[in-house]
This record gives sequence, C-alpha cells and structure tokens, in this order.
Amino acid sequence: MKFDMFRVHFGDVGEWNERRWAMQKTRRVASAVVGCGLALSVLGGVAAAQQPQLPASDKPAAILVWPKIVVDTSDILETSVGSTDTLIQLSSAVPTRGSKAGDLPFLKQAHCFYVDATGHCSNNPSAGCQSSDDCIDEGSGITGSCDPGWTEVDFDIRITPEQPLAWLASEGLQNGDFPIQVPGTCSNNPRIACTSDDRCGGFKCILQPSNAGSGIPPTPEDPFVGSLTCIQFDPSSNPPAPDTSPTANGLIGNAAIEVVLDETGGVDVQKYNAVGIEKLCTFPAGATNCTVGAPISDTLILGGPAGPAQYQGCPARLILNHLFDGAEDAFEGSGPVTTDLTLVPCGNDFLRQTPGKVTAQFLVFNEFEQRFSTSANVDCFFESQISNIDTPNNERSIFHFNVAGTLAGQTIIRGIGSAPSGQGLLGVARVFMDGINGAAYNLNEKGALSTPDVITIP
Amino acid sequence: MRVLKQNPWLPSLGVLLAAVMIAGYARADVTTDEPGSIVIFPKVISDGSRDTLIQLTNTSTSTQHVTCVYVDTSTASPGTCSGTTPPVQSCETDADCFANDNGFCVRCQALNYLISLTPLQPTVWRVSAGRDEADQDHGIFIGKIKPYPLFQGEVKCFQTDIDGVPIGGNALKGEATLENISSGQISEYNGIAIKAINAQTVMPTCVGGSKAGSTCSTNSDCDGTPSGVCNVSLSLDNSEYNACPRQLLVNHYGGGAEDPATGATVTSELTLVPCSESLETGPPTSTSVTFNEYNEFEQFVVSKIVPFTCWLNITIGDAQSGDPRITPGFDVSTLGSTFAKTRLFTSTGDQKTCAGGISAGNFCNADGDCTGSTCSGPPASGILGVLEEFHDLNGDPTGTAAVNLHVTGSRTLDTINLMPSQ
Repeated sequence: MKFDMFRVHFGDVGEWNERRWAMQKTRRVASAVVGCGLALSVLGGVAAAQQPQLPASDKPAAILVWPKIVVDTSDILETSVGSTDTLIQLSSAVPTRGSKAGDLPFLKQAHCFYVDATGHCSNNPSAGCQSSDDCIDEGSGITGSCDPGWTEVDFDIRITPEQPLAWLASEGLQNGDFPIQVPGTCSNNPRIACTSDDRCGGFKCILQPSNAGSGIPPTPEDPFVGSLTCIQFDPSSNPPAPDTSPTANGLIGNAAIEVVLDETGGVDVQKYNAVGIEKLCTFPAGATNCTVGAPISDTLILGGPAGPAQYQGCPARLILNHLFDGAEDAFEGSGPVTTDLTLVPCGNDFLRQTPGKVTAQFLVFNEFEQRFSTSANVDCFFESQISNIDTPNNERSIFHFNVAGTLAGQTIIRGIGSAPSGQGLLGVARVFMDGINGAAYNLNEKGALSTPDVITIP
Repeated sequence: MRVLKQNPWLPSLGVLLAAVMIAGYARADVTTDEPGSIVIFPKVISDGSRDTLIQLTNTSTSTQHVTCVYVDTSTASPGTCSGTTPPVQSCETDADCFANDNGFCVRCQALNYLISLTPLQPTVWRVSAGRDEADQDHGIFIGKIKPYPLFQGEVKCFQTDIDGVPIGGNALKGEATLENISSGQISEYNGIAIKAINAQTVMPTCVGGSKAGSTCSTNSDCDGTPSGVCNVSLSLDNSEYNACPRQLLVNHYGGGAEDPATGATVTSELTLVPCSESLETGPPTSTSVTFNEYNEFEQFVVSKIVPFTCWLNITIGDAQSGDPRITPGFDVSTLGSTFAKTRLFTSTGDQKTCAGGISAGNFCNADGDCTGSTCSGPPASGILGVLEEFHDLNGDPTGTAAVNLHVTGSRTLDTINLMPSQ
C-alpha cells in the first residue's frame, strides 16, 4: 500500500540541526554500518559483551535515581487526593553463588541520599508545602509564599545477592526490621549470632551476607516531596567506596506512589522503575573490568570525555510522550487528562550541599507536527502539571488541548546550563484520568551529553 | 536466501564505529528507555471491562511507515489444536482437541496494519475503537487499524519502508495504558523497543515452494508448484537487531501479600511474550519459562517451569487465586516474606525442545519426553514481558499499576518472521 505523504513545515529547528542531520543520516549511517561490518570482520567480530550508552530504567546499574518520592500521610498538601506514601523497592541483581560463604564477597552496599525538596511556608516555616495554596492561614486569611528548600540525608543499606528489600518512605527500616540481621551464626548452634569465632566457644562462626550495618531513616518530614539517589559501594573496602568490581552494576529498583483515595476509599498506585546509571566497564577476553575512568574519589564523573568518565553519561534529551492536558475521551467517556512531570538534575554536590541547577528547554509537538516551545528552571527538583510549566492559566498553555488541538503530544526536553554539576536531567511522569486515577511511567532518552555530570559525595 | 540492498559506504567512519564497539560501549539490549525499530506492547486488553490506549511516536525528523501486528489470543480469534493428528484441526475449546487426543486449543491470530507517521508525530488510538483516516478530529492519522472490541494479546510495531518491509532507523517509541472502564483505574508501561543495528533493509524472500529463495513482495510472487510464502526474517542477534535478554528480573509481591502502605491485598499478573515469532507466516511459538524465586531472606524458594504458546498471562496470587502452575510457591504463605525477586529465563544454546504436539516448546532430552512429536525443536524462544499489580482494599475499586521488567544479559538466537504488509 502506498500513501500520499505530506509534511507540515514548522519553525526552524536549526539550533539542533535535526532536519539537516536526518537528510544526511540515511546515506551516511547505512554507509558507515557497512563499513563497520567490514571493519569488524577484520578486527575479529563484535565484542562478546557490550554496554548500553545511556542510563536505563530496566537494567541493573551502579547508581539508581528515583526522581519522585512523595509522603503526605495526613493528606495536607492541596494536590493530594488522599493519604499518600511511597513504597521503595531495591534489589540486588547479583546472582547467588549457592552458599553463604560463596555469596559473602558479593554483599553490596547502597549509599543513599534522600533529597528533600519540600518547600516551607513563609508564614509557618514548619509547614511543608508545594505551592502557596498550602500556605493559607485560615485564621488570619493571610497566604504565605511557599519557599523552596533543598536538604539531603544520607544512609547506607547492605544488601545480599538476590535479595529484594522494600520500605515505606514514611517509616524507613531500622535495626531489627531488616530480614537478615545476623552477620554470622555459630556452627554448633545456629541460634547464636556471632561476628567472630570468639563468640562460639571454640566452634566456628559461619559468616553470611547480611543486612547488618544498614539503617534507613524515614523521610525527614511529612509531607515530603523529593527524590532518592543510591550509589553502589563495595563494603569490603575500608572505608567503603564506590564499587569498581566486576559486579559493579548490581542494583535494580522501583517506587510505587500509593494513595488511599478520599473520594472512594480505594487505592491508587503509580509505579515506575528507578533510572539506573551504569559503571563503565570493558570486557577484555570475556572478563569484566569496571575500573574504567579516573580513579574513584568523592567525585563521580558521569559521561563526558572517555578518559575521566567513570559512569554512563546522562541523556542529551528526554522524550515525554503524553496526552495534552484537558483532553477528554481518551478512553470512552473518560474525563479530562492531566500529566504531572518531575525532573531532577543528573549531578548534585552532596558534599557542599549544593544542588544541581539546569535550565530545561521544552519542544512540544502535536499530532499535526506543529511545534511549540518553552523553558523552565530545574533548581534541585522540578515538579509541575505540564499545563502549568509555561503559564498559571492551564487552558492557555501550549501543553493544553485547547491550544495544541490534538490528543497526543511529544515533548522533547533538553537541559542546558553551566553549573559545575552539569546539565543532565532525569525524570518521571504521571498521567491522571479525572484527576484521581493515575499511572506513572519512565521517560525516554535520546543521545548522550558530550559534557560530564558530576555527583560529589561526602 | 536473504538479499541486501547495496549502499555506498564510508570505511573510515565504519572503522571508528567498530573501534567503539570493540571497546565495549556499543548498545546490545532491548530497551524501554530509547526509541527503536521494533516496539512491543506485551499486554493489550480490550474486553468490555478493560481497554488499552496505545501511544506511538515518531522521534525522527522524517516520515516513517509502521506495520503494527496484532497478535490476538482471545476467543475472537480462531482456535487450532496444538497437536498434529490431524495437523490443522479447528477448535472452540480444549475439549474439541481432547476428543482426538490432539493437544489443546491454541488461539494466536496475527493481523497487520500499516500506518504512517509524519516527522516527530505522536499518535494514539484505543484498541477497542481502532482508528482510521476518517478520524482526524484530534490530529492526523494516516492508515487504518480496525477496532477490536474483544482482544487479548500483544501488539508489535515495526518500522518499515513504504512497501511494508522492515527497515532500521530506530525512530519509534510507545506507551500502553490499560484502563478499568468502570473504575477509571489506569496502568501504564513503556513499549519495549528493539533497536536495529544494521540499517540496511532485509528483502523478503519466498520460503518453501518452487520459488524458495526468490525475492518477493507478496505471497502471489511465491505461487508455484508447490507455492511458498513471502517472508521477511529479522535476526535478533546483536548484528542485525539487538538481541533479546537472557533473563528477566521481577520484583514483586508474594501472591496475596498485604501492601504495607495501604493494607490492600495485592495480586499480580505477569505477562510474557516470545521473542521469536512467525507472524502470519507459521505456527505460533511455544516455549518454556523457568521461574526461580527468592524471598527477602535471600532464600531460594522455588523453581517452576511453565510452557506456553503465543502469550502467557499468569496470576501471582494467594493459595486460592494464584495460577496453579506456580502455586503453591509464589503465594505469600509459601514465599515466607512480603516481597520476592524472580528470575525468568528460557533455555539457550544446547537445550532441546519438543518440536510440536501437546508438548511443543517443552524442554526435552529424548523423543520420549515429547508427546506427539520428536525432541528436535529449535532452542526455546527468549521472552519479554510486563508486570501489573492489583491492590484490593476492602472491595473498593482496585488500584492497578504496571511496570516494565528488568533485563540482564543477551541471547542471539531469536528471529521474527513476518509477511510484508499486504
């Protein structure tokens, strides 16, 4: 079947040169791949193991980022539709060796940072807020401003091979809550916990991988809006340091934002995968070498020039597929759709308590291939209903159905800026039908940044 | 025999790309985070109580043609007995096949639809309603996808040329949103993208018949004595397309466990589809999946092997509601903790499978292991999938959430065969 094609010519995209690249791409890429195939046959074929170029939400990694963690158990925030908490899941993807002794070297440590981006009311600094709507003093009628905040809390989790762990952000996990608390048991009596033979009265202390040494605090406040970043450490190094062993990419995770709905008493669950950034590795002769890049220190280099880069680089662009706000009948009889976008900088300075700062540029395309654009600052943490990104008046937004005129949209998000921590962005989106029933989904990525992002750790 | 279109080449750029690949930084996995040339939606439902919204986007700045293949396992698609006595026996229920000792009733009908996306165009359609060029109220739609008021299965979308022949380009991304129509609860997951590594077009050729190996555009080009089928074969071998994963990793609740956040009882549905398929060109794919489950105490709880044909949607529930093929084992009582991690994989390499009959796709070591066939089948197909949770609190509308599975490793044995769009 053949179709008559037509194209709507829109504004110049010259700053990205995408159209010019597309015209040349077909010839050059096909040509290069043929040349590549010939070259590979000379050089000995495709490498047996290869590594993705961009962070991924579906592969084990060394750094996991959960861009959106929400706690509002008392349903205080104006945007909440019920008591809200986030269930965070973290698992080790390292395979078991089939014995406790065999698994002991593969115990991993996740060094984690809660980033608290909850704002506080100017007229009541102890009250958390997302907007000034949360800062209305009912007694005086005075509305305060919602002043943004950024603090971090760090903690450690030890996780054994194959082990799944989960905790509520509002509660954390303290000593006694972890599944495997005991680092070892005496060979003569498994009920006796031990860390050395001395404890076992002449018998052996059989050490095992355990969660001993772990402690997950509750989020520092409730309500809480922020993100979580975990970096895989090697607990056997002294002091523990970012893992550069062959199993350096061993963590997977996801988060479920769960709401007990005021309106129905039912439950709404919005689940997404944590975004994983892999430690760069090479695979000489079937082995795995993850010591690539500059020597590990308190500065983790994500992408950029090949020599110093230790981890994958952040994406040059994020792609958000969405329905335009206000669109109805996405499903038969369904009410207006809204989408909520959360963005966090790829890089952060946790040592000096300086958050990443990036300007996000948005290019919005509707089904007619028409283009709109806007930008917004991502200062530590950015969260907005998409039709509020460019205007407080939703119905006049380029993200609203009234303006876009079509149901579906594609928004390309690019980070720019000159902050020392870089210009990369990561994110997650949530779509709501009727403002209540929601679903979360990961954003897509395209291209790698040529400049590095940096995470500085204490 | 595969025929490749010839293009001019730039050897210096090719050598540079080769050096990057040898250094170990080249892409080689399926992805839910990047555009690809094939986008797979493993769980698509339309049955009156649930519907699915499919969003598909062209991320490139040139027009792209897309062939979407609907693989329907619902009762709306014709059933065929899995056995070979006789080889093609129609059926409505398993009982029809049992009467002849002819396996069980398999429904797996594939139909393709060709649409086109203008540069950077997003599009969307409901599975129950379909969409065609008469529906331009909410945007451009070029093509036609018929409505499916009853559908259960997967949708695979391929980037193609204007003749419906798959090409590279890696321009497509997609999402699927499942809705419970009465409650309004929704679940959303990203389509699984398979990237093309080789951007060249693989030409269709006749398979079987007197013209086997000849290039073709339609089945009529393969007419002869005997006739063959016009077929395109896509290799997921990290040379032509990215390979399927070696294992899937699933974090999930124990079946019937209580959600610590809300107190809801949680059941899950794990949906799996085979990587290797003969879409409209051959019998449905049968394979066997091994489920290895671990609990929070790092204990290996259970290993189950589940064979399936075409599409698998298996419930992780409590002792009463869980699928009997994995229960007991995946229920919270047997699991011994609230949460579990499960590794899913099929065989690779030397493991043989039954070639047909009621044991099609089962692992085997000798012909005696296969009822109604021989132990001569291909390596078991790889798998892809998605997980959906159902949170039930006091019978109130059940909360739902879908999430993509994690993948690890790669296997280079899978192939997708399909017909050029007619």
